Amino acid sequence: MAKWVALFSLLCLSVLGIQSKELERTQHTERISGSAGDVLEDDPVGRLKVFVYELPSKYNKKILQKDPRCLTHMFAAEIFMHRFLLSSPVRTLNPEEADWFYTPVYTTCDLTPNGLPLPFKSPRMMRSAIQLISSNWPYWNRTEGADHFFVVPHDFGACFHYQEEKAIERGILPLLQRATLVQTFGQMNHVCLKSGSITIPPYAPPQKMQAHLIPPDTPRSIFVYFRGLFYDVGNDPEGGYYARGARASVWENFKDNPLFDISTEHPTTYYEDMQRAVFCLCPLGWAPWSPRLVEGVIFGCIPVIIADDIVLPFADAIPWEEIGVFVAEKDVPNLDTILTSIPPEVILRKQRLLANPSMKQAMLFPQPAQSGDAFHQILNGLARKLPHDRSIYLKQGVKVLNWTAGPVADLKPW
Amino acid sequence: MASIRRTLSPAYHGRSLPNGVSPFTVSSPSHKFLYSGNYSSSSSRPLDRFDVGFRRFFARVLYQRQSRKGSQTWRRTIFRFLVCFLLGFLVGLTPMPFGEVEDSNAKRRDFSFEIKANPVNVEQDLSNVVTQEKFVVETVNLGVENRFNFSPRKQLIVITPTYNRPLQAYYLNRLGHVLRLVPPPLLWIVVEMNSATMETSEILRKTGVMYRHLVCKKNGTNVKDRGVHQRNTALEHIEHHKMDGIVYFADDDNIYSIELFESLRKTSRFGTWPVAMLAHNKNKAILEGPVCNGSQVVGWHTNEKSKRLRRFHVDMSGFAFNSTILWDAKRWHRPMSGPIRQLDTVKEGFQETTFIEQIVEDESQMEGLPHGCSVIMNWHLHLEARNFGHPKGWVLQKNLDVVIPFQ
Repeated sequence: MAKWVALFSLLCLSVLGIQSKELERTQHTERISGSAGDVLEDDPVGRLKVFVYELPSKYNKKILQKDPRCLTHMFAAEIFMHRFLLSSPVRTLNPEEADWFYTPVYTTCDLTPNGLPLPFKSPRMMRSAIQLISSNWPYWNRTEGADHFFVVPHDFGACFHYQEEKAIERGILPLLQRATLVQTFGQMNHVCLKSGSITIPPYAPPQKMQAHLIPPDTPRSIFVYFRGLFYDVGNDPEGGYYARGARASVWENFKDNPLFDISTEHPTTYYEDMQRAVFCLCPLGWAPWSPRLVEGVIFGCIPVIIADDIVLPFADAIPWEEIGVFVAEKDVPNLDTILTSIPPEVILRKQRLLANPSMKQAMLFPQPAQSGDAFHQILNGLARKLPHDRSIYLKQGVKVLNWTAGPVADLKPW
Repeated sequence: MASIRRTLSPAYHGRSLPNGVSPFTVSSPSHKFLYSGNYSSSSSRPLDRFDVGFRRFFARVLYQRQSRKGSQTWRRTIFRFLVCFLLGFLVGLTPMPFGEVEDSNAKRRDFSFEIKANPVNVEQDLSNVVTQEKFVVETVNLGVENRFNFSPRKQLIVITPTYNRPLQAYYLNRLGHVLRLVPPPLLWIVVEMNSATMETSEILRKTGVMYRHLVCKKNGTNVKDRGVHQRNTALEHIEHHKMDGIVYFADDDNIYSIELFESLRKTSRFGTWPVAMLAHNKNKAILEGPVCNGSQVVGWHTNEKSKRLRRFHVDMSGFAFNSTILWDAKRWHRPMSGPIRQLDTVKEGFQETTFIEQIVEDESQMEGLPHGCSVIMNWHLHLEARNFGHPKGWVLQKNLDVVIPFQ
């Protein structure tokens, strides 16, 4: 009798054991779940309608023809967003049923010979585009732009300047006060970040990054990795201004630390090296955001964000605190202690979250668009703002915007 | 009990349960115990008994329902329920499979604990980082888990110049595996000419050793000076980053033992030891290095006449020094007279001695390793043909477009 009982219980337990072991083996990536992360997989099609204004090609195509480098630099999101919307199912040709209106104006495509965009003509260009749409269609005047959105990926968004002090002085272009801005710049309590803006990642060429993938089982033998400037000798010869001194602090404190592979040389194996690093530093530069965040996410390197009060892309959809490590600028001298005291389970969890394909997709602007990519996250963000509040619709003849506000130079026609 | 029900139903799937008998037939074998006792002998195999008994049980049940009288059926039912309860209780008590899982977790943690025992205060244990993700940062966690009394290990900085030739992949792989066996902290600086080729990067990446891949951009150098410029690039990197460790020049075509790296860690300022070599005409083995009394260097082994005029008869892989000498002049009471670099203006065979002259003044500042300099720890066999014509890079674009000079 006892023999049978024993044999039977052995059978049951073995079956249970096998089941529990199977459950254990399937965990390699982790789903970004919870209040925020599920939203990444939403499909915006059917939840909103976008009307794309037909602007004359001098606002978009001709500018691009003059300088095709705009397609590959980190501000290319404005161009690709336009192309995506033209062929997307959310586009409607009937403006009466549209929830959002998009104006395709490429304000960040006036490049220096080095490839850096000059923002000096951008306010006039934007103003000219808005004048056009307000006179040719009634929808701008209906809400004074509250149901319109613009993509402004430049350093400080719609402040249209690369120097922070000047950008703060200018403030956001007065005509865009009521519109929704889709921008790369995000910093809390800053003039150039309007509430209700959607923060997006800077453009990084997806094919170029895919071409440098290495086998995922390569050991991560670098602890902390960074390549870039520590001092900007051209613009800030004495130091202290560039990156608020944070990058200089990283260099002076950790240049001799063997765990920190940091240098100004740009190697040919940059992407491969990121894939064999555990942490990638993403310190602020002249602006707080950086393409290193996107590169870190794609290559599975945990981003260490050293930029006080930064607002990261899709912050309402991606739980960045669980994925990256935030270090205050004043704590930079203790960076090694901070990073080495993170428990291994936490690091493994972060790596699993980064390995999640929906996380990587959300940071990219692939052509053609794929589900879950950054284009869709932008549309999701716009869809989450719907339905529009009744109060945005202004009564006939009521004007809120001041068309003559701002520096005098901006009022000149473009 | 509910969970048992779920797991059992697939197990019983094959069996046809007649007359809609509920899956809650856990009790069936136990009933078989009761009823089949009279019928089958105890010596038959358990599984056969199981099957036979199972079928018998069902026959019994059906038979009993029709034939037995009320009170006895009642008693049997209670008996059945009691046995089911007992069995379920027993199964519920045993926590084995879950315990197994937890145990394995604990084992993993124990293993990682062993690795944690080794790391140095600030310098890390990263050479232990192997392919499995779960060990990636097991070793990172130091300051927190400092239960063991250990003295911090000195960092080794190994400089390897490499260039494209037929056996490059072989040498790099071999050296990479040797360095991987050295207990951390170790930083491997690999210097390549002109550009960091993808093939070299791939080999280095797979080793799992903490490395830095530098590039020496000097065009049209004399063959004998190529190594000099590459080592100077590495020395510049160390100086720029103000690294602290023991610098050792390890060419990729030499053979090293693990004891060598252990001895290196004992160096405080400048260490040297004898290196075994083959004579130029390859007909005998020779030694190049110091003659020691304990750890004091009292003389040198000499070999060829052409090299008699050297001040220090040391091979490039026969000495190591503290990297702070390169950038911390005050600590070593040296005059600050420009960077310490290997010279490309001296003739073949004199690069080592002219370099060492910049680092130490005389033999009193040297240490002989290991004790008595009586053990050979590495071999430098000049087996490669000199001035070998090899196309640039790893991949041949055109067929044999190489000019090999006649000698």
